[in-house]
Amino acid sequence: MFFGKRSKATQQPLSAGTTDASKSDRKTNPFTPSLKTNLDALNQLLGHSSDLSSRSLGSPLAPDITMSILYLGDLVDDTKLNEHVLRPLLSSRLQSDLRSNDLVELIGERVIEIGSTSVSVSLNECADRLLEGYCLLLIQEAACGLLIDIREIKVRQVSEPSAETVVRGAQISFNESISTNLNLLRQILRSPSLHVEEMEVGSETRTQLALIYLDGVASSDTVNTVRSRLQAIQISSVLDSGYIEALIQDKGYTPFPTIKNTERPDAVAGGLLEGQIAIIVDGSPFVLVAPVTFFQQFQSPEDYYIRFDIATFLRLIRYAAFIISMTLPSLYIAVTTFHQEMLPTTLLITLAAQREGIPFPGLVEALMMELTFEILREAGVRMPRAIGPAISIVGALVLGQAAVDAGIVSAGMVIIVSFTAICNFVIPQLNMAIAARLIRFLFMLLAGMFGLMGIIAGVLAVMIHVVRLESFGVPYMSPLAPFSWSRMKDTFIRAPLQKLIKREPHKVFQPDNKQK
Amino acid sequence: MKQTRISNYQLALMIMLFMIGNTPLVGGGTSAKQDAWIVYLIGALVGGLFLWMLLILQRRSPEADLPELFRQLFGTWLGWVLVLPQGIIFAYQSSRNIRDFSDMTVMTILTQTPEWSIKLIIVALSLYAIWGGVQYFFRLAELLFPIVLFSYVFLILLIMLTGLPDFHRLQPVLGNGWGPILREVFPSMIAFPFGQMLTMLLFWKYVTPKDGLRSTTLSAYGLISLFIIFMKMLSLAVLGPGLLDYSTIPLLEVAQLIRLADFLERLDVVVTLLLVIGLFIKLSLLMLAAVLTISALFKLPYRVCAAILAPIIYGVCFLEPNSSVHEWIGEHIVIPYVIPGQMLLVVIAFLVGFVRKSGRQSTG
Repeated sequence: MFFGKRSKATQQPLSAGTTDASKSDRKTNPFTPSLKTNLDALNQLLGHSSDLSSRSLGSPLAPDITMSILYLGDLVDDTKLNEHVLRPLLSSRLQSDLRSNDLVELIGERVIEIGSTSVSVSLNECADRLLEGYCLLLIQEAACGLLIDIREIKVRQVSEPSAETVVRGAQISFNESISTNLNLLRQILRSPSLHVEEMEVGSETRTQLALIYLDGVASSDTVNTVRSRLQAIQISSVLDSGYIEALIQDKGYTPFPTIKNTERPDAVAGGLLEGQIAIIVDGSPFVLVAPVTFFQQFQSPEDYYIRFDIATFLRLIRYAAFIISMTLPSLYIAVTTFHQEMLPTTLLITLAAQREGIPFPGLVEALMMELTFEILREAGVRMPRAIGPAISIVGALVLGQAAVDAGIVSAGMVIIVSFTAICNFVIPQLNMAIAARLIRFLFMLLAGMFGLMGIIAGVLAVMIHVVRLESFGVPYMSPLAPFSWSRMKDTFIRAPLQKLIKREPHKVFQPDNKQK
Repeated sequence: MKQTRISNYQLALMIMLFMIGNTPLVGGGTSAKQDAWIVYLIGALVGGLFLWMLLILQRRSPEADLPELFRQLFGTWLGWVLVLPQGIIFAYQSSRNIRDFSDMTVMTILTQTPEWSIKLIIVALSLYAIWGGVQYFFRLAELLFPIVLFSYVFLILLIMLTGLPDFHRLQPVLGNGWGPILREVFPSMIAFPFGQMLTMLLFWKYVTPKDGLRSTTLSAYGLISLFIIFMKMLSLAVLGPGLLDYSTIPLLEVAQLIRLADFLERLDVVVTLLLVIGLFIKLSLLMLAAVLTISALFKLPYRVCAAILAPIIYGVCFLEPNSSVHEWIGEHIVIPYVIPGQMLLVVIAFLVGFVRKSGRQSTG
């Protein structure tokens, strides 16, 4: 219901950067010198909304002039409005003979005690700003209005990361506010070369987003690509960074994520330092990072905080877990149904004894258990917190133990499914874990039909697929394909930091220029 | 369309994977008994000469591939006629490899599965692999090479650890004189596997930078030839010349002998994996070569040509009634006549180019 159309490249960008650009394709209503007409026009623009408060006032500044102040009562900070806007206006010691537009400017410059004020001549802009929580000061005979930023933004407290936890390292995560997130990022990267470009996307939601990169480190080609793809977005609403991710990722259908999302400021900062580009979307605690390679999704920020040998070991374990979580159930199916001779005899006897009396063939048994587990996991995410323990009891005892006791599934299969599931949790990026889950089912079907050959064919097909993927011009499988020896130091292993800092940062995320 | 480029590194890996290909499947040089490895050695040396000639051909016109080269040397009409069989041979070889593949699978791990379905999967997979073009296919080699490398290292280590090889089985060296060796070398050993390097004529033009091309190709060829010779020696040392002659897939027999600590046994899986990857790369590269050649000849778009050729290749591998006929054709027609014929065409092209060049120099 919230999907808009992705624009063609030739279409004009809907909203880009500042308000000037966003005005360009709307019709601009100018102010009229009459205060009443202006008020009516604004009321009209805002649909006579009942939360639009207006108050007329007279200021000692210019006693014979009627002023009017407008704001949306739910969006403004009352203290700021009373203390720093109304009080200075009502008790101004200043006397002035200036009239109309000059008076507006004077008030903005010398009376209002708020950092951000601006004079606007467009009713549309004023309406937009009112919707953001600005208040608008209108003056009789002036064909402009003074916008004063007294927004009150409701934000959640910055909290610990919930999706990407680490043992060592900062325990802080982004929240839903773009300004908090920028703040967190700037606290880590106090460099003047950290460039932030703000934009607005979504004709209804007018969601703020920020494109962030380290100038001189990020490749300018990539920055331009990301910027132009952001500007080409045409959609009415953006409720999460997932919308932006889907709209700007490289074309092609793939279960593999070509844009990374993270809720950790240190992960984003690390990415920026390596030449990646971050996109913060207002309203989403998940910041997008691009371009990203396959292997990066197996790295956790913690890899760099702990000793290199331990980090290397953990990384290798993650890769192993990824492979296991994709292939283990299918290998089990292949071996038990096609290639029994491959198992050592004693193990084969144990397995065969378990499977005795199981009414289903291996493939059906595995599919059943895997689907059950997927349902359990989904239930775990969706259910209300209060009934959590019930699900675990039902899942573990009833489905696991009882199914084995009743002879519906074999104990070996339960072990396989559980181990596969646990392996899946090891992958730091949730998107990548989901890809492995999907591909697992494909492999299971192939194994059920062609045994080991089916799995090999499936693995080859996945390899052919990933080798063709690209993320903003960077080959997805780099640095393995195309191979880069220098980047191997931080792919499968994590070399000691002394070895890593020598590399030139901007060489890391260069798009494959050869293809241009 | 994006410009296709291959790095020297990718080229080297592809040459190695391509040359390993189905070599473990085909037991060449068996009539030379314990000197079979010498057959491979001489084959590699003569093949090296042929490769050197190919590289000269390539250097004369660095941006030309096989069809373009023939057009330049023989003119438009004759060049077209002479390239057509090359394309057909590539496609036919690709189809033979599919046959090898399904025969091997049915023999080793899937005894009950219908062959047509295995072949269909392989053709579909190859078509998918080459669908993206040369560039992505060569990238695939970079992903597969580590797997192949580690599997071979693992296998060789285990063979050594279990004490299976007995290098006395290689003695007496040259016990039967040079006669049987030379009979094996000419023409079959030169043709297969070493003569197949001529497929690279289609891909060299994509390599950038061109400076490293010669040394890369030659060193990759040298390395992989040494490896093939070593593997031959190893299987000779494990099985002995007699058993080697009877075994269909020598490497598989060797792997089946590995027993370590009552746990590591039945390593057929690893060998099968190696064979599958090797065959897959080989047949896909040959299919790619065929597609490139045919599409250049008939001025067809690349993907259209691929979509037409793949079903034809799939169909052709059903023509032989059984695997004995398949092997007989391989040993008695393809290796002694078809591939050498293909090589002969290239040699002629080389000579023509040589004559033309010297003619131009003497007149100019």
